[in-house]
Amino acid sequence: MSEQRNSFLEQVQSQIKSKEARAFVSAELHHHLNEVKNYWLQKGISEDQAEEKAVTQMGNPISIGQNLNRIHRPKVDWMTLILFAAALFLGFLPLLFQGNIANHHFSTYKVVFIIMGGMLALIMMFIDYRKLANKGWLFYLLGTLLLLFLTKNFNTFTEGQFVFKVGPLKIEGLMTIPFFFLAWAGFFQSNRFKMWKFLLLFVLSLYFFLEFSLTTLFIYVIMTFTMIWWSKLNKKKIAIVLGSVFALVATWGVIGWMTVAYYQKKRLLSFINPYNSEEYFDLSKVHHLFMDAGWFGKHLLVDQMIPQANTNFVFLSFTYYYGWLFAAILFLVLSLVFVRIAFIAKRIGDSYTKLLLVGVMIIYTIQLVGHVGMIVGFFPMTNMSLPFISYGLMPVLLNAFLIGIVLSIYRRKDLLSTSTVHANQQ
Amino acid sequence: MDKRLKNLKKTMNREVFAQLKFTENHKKSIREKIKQETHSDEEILIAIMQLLLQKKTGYQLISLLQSRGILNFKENEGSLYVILHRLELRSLLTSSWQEDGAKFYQLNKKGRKLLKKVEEQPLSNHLSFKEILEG
Repeated sequence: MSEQRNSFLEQVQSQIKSKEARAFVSAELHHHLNEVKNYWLQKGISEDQAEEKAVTQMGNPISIGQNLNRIHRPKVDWMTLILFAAALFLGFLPLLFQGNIANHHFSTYKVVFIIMGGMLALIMMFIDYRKLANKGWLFYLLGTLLLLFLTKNFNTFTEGQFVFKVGPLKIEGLMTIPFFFLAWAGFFQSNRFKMWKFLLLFVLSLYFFLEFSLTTLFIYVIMTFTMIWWSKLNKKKIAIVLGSVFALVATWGVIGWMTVAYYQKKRLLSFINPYNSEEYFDLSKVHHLFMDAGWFGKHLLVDQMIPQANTNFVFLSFTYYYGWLFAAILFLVLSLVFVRIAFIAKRIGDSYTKLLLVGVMIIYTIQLVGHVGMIVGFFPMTNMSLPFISYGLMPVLLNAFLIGIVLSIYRRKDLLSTSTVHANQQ
Repeated sequence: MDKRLKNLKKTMNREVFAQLKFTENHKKSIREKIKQETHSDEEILIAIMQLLLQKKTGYQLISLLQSRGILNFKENEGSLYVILHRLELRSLLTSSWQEDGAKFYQLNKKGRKLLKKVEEQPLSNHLSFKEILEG
């Protein structure tokens, strides 16, 4: 490369802020200069003269660079950020109605959790998610190791779940979902990924997930089965595999049903049809309290009436205290997050990015629909937390991570069609 | 104020303009600028879009524009890429890179629609056009 060309390209690049844009703008101009140079060489002038002509024909590097910078400036998705902040802010409201304001720990922790969540989302925004595409194996390994660690090293056992507790921190199986999410997105975008590999890896991970709560397992399975539709695997094959998995589970269920003890049957029945159960706090009570709330709520402290009022039943206690109107607004804000992500996903063609957004949407939706659905009464009893609102570090971090991925994608969405240039240059 | 600027002209003559010569090149470029003004920005943009109905690189596009008599990009070829990137950002174009580093552009469905609209009613759609031209 001649000195003249070098200094021209450097001057253009010096005006462009985005590192990614710099690389592909320079590659494109480089190619153009080569073409022009070839043209002049064919006309029979010397190498040096051709090079000089090519560069001067380009025009003023500073103004080109400035204009391109305006186009390729990294973008912040204010819409998602505002919705994220609004949801986190709404997450403070449940604290007000529990008389827990007196309990300083509780609100201090909540503030700390939210700050950590916000920081995680911002850090994720600055990470170039495209660099994670070929690290599927790494994430799979990390996820599996974490699951293994949790099953071997748990020190608390709550509600039939392994939990690793360090001070106020609880590390649950839910923590591994982001790792497997990145792992599957990485695997599915690859052309070389085969069905037998999927089955092997899926069954292996499932074996570990079975040790954890049904909710985590449910999120994991739905996430994987949704993402696989956007993979490069043959659609027919996917349908056959998923069909046989469901058939297998169904047969296992039927055989299991005939062999389990009476009390186990009863438990299962109450899970499917909760209105017949005799548990202390069942779905009929939930439904009753929900209908009782009215449009403007009862404004009564609810922690006596509702167990887990700030985690698993937060939407119920929220509704009971503030009423249906406020509950509808809360639901609307949380749904808008989904709508916003869907809007971004619609305009993106890149397969890895699409897989990530599909994964984000499904993980988010399961939680939202699962939690609200349970309380409104069409979803079985689970311990699904309401995104951003439920108390607890793990759920906040999980959803902050999802938002961070969306912000990172939005920031680079206009560079997508050109991402192949990196491979060409190196 | 007057006092401060009094010596400006003299200083400029001494320091700046002494090194500046009005060469044949300058004369030529001014003449060309005058000639260029026969094409409005809209006309150029329409020409670019028409040419991009088929897949082309920026380099191919410039030579075709020149053969249509549009000389705006002479000695200013880089600015064509600014327009191309703007069109791409507004998702009127799709682009693809080739192994040898060439980037090809082509009008997509949305771009073809806009082109058709502008060709049919040249004066009605200046707003979206202005956005593209001014960034």
